[in-house]
Amino acid sequence: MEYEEMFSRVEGVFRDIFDDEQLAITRETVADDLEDWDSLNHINLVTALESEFAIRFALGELQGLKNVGDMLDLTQQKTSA
Amino acid sequence: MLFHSATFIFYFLPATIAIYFLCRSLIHPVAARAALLLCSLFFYSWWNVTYLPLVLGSIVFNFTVGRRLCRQADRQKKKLWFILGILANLALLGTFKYFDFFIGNINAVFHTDIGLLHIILPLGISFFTLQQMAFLVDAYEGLAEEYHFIDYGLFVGFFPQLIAGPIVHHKEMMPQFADAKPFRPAHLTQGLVLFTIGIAKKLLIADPLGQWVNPLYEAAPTLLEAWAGMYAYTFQLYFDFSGYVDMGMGAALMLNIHLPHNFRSPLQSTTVIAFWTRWHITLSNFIMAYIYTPILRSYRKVTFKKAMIATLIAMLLSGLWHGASWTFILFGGVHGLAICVNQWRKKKKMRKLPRGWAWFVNFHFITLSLVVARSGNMAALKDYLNGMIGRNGIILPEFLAGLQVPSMSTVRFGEVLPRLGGDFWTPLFLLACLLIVLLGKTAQDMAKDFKPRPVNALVFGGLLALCLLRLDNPAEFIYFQF
Repeated sequence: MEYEEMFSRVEGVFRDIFDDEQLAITRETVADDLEDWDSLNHINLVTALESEFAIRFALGELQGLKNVGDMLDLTQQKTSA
Repeated sequence: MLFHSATFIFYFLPATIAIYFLCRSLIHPVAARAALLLCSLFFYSWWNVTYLPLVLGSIVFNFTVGRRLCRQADRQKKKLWFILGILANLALLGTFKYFDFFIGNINAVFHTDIGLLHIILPLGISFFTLQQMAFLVDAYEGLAEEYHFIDYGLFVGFFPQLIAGPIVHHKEMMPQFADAKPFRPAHLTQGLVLFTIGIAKKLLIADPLGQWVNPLYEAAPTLLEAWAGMYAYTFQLYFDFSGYVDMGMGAALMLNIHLPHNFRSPLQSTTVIAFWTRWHITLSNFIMAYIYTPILRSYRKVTFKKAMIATLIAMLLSGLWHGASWTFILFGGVHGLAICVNQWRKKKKMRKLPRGWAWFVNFHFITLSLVVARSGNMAALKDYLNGMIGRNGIILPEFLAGLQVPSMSTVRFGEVLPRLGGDFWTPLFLLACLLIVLLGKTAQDMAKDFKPRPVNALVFGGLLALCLLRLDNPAEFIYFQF
């Protein structure tokens, strides 16, 4: 999958979870940048990414996902595996 | 062996550092790691050698199961090994930590008389069991590699973190052990700074506070005593635990090992959610990743209500992890509820309190919840809370004796804080603690920014000397009981 395509799908997931159609993310976006990105929405994001890309994250990987870039990289790694 | 004992400071730590780096440069890095593991086991045995086989058994067992999980290709067999591994760890914790609590409750409910085991809690069991369960989960999910036994042993048994954390993750520790860098003077300096800050927190702040707090939980405190004791215990626990972690981080750094941060000025938090991301961070991470997430994932669709149920369960378990008693379960429960309220206010986009008020409310919630945690049993908790609302009597300072308080016959005038052993300085000491937790730099930042200048040598040297003069009669760390 092209990186751009994946990025826009991930952005779509973010817009869905945070219920904000205008939301724009970058690789550097972290939880502190989005007020609603708390532990609960973190899990929501992860499960939404899992169903969007038909992948599964391991429990031990979730703490390492500190920003959007981490999520993109791990998602890419899993979809290309 | 305690970090703040002469044995540790003058013999064990210097000897361990010397042995480690000598073995590394004269023999082989693997020999150095093996020596470090032996030193760590010696450190553990110093306290009670009868529990050494328990730690060793736990290490060997989990190492073996972990290896099976890494090698096993058959999914069914892998799952069986995984379940066996987790159950064995839970059984170990259940026997040594919760058995008597469980039987005691059965006896109370069914009026039976089943004998208790009266086991002394093996030091560090809650920490090393949790850490290895996380390792098994990761091995099962394909995140762990097959490690060298010595590195695995160090991951569990490394003395600066063996007894009361931080709860470390194999991914952050194994590469550091395997790397075994040569001696670095800068790390020794930074380590000494951290160690000095930690020992000062413990001996100059936490232990004196403990002398005030302990008597209050043995006899129903009067109004002002109870309130002073409540604040005193919050500060005692914070300085005791963060002091322990600073000392551990310092000792580890002298061996070139970076332990993860466990505190980030938690008492400055303005919400309870923020508090748990800054207090005992490694435990919060563990609960989040390995308890909260699987509960939430077990639901097909994540909703707000289900997330709140998962939060409550996770926090109740966290409370129970701290100790086998109803007061700890209650402690976890009130924190779970507070997090739910916090989340609900966020969800409803309610107006935030002004920062100062938010801090004030949150700080008092935390101090009050720590009264629950400290009390040990429901009867003592009731006594203490009665004290806080003046039902055990009120003693006001003498200089207020002119006041007419006709409606309150329980009011007396006299020495305030008598059982605290406190005096004029007591409130000032508490105020100083508050200022330190609100304005102080973290120990990690102080160590990072440390410049070797004469004035710093005087300050830290003086502080360390002051602590060394107080080494006799050391009190254990509070978190050793958990």
